[in-house]
Amino acid sequence: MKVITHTLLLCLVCIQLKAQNKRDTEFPKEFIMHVKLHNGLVTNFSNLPELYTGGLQFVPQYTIVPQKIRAGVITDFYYTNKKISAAFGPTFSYKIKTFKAAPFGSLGNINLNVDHLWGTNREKLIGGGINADIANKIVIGLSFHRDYNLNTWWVQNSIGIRISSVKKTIEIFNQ
Amino acid sequence: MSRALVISGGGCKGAFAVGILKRLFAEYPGLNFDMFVGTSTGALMAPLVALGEMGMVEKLYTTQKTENVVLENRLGDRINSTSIFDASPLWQQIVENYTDERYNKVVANGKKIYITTTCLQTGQMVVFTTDKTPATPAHYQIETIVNADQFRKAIMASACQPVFMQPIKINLHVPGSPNPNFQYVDGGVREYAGIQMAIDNGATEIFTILLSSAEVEVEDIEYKNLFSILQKTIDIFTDDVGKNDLIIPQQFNEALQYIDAVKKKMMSNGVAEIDINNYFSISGLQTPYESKKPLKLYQFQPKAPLGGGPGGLSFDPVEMQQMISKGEGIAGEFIASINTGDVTWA
Repeated sequence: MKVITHTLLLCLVCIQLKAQNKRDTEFPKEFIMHVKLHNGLVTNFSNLPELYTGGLQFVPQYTIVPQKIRAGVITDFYYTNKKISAAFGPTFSYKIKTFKAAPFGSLGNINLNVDHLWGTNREKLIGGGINADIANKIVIGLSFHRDYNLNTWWVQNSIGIRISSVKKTIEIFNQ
Repeated sequence: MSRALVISGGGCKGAFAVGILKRLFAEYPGLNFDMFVGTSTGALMAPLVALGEMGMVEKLYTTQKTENVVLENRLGDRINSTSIFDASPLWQQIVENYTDERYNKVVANGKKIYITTTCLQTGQMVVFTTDKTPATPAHYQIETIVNADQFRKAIMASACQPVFMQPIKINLHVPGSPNPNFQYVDGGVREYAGIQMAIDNGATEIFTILLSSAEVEVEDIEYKNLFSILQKTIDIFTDDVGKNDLIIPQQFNEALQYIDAVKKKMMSNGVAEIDINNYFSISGLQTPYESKKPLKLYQFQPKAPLGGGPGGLSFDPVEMQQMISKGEGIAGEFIASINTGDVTWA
């Protein structure tokens, strides 16, 4: 266990050092919160009918490796199988691409997320997805999760908006 | 004889001006200026050149990187801001380098520095100066700097290219200012090189350093996105303002040379000097030519574009070192070509 912890810490330090690109403006050190509308289907890829699922997610995150990784939690309220349920769990986002608007800054990014959710109906979802963050305002994503407890797959798309405020630049020269 | 140094705007391309001055001061240790006019990057250089701190100027223009001047951002975050970049690092540099002590030294030494800015509220060019008794021109406003904070903010505003960098409230803490919240930006919006300021304030020998190239560069590329077109538009705009700035003083000087030649011709035909001056003095009509002698204009300019990104805001120490070398080369050509009789500063 100790070896795994040390290896993970070492990996984190390496990523942190590699990520120190001051010119990359995506994933700065900050708190960020998205609200996402998602919908899709729950299936086990058999002859059984697929179930519709849709809901609302609250995803607060904090950048733990600037320009690379954000960590946070997902609180999900969703409808499926004629019931409203909830799920909760950790999430990590890893930025894989910055859309540069050189030399002015950036327009957005593509990131991958992995998460694990525990649902109120014994769901245990593990999976992730890919997200396009546009102008740090709108997030569009596609996700796949495996419910390893109930033996189903969740395939969903989502659209979200940032609801946390953007840190205002303090213009000390105008104070 | 009053000698002025005028340095235009151009961001990191100011390194070219460093090269020019370095070579000139090395060749002519006795060269000094009575007034310094700076626009944008020129405003950043003028006070330090006035204090004879060329080593510091060179260090600043060979070590700075873009992130030491402006911070890039996520463009979505800047929609409700006053600029694309955040100029906080530049302000930090100004606070560190343009200290109260240096400001007091400039004032105590009687160095006349003119910093050009543009007021967003009035659209007028406003020149901030350490000159206690500046000329009162009709077509722009002039304000005497009252303290070090105003001095630093005037330098900052002059360097802040609008849209890219934040406007500055220069007079926010100036006691009794009628408009403390007026915002000021780069003087280059109205005047790229402040040659006219030097003329208005009595300069008769003007060294002008321009940072955009004399030649038009024909590019064999297609502009395919908004940002590259914006970048090119700014370059064209700067070049155009620069050319207009030069044309007017040159025409002014040609007119002075013509008047001078006419006066000499009249004198050689036996007309008394006092009568000639009477003919050229019309009561009730103020002209910029009255009692002015032809100017000596020395112009330094790169032969080809220096690079440096849009508005000269891509600070690359290696590229800036090359700009210094180019400046030294141009100054070397000037030294080799000038008539020794014209050298009044040796």
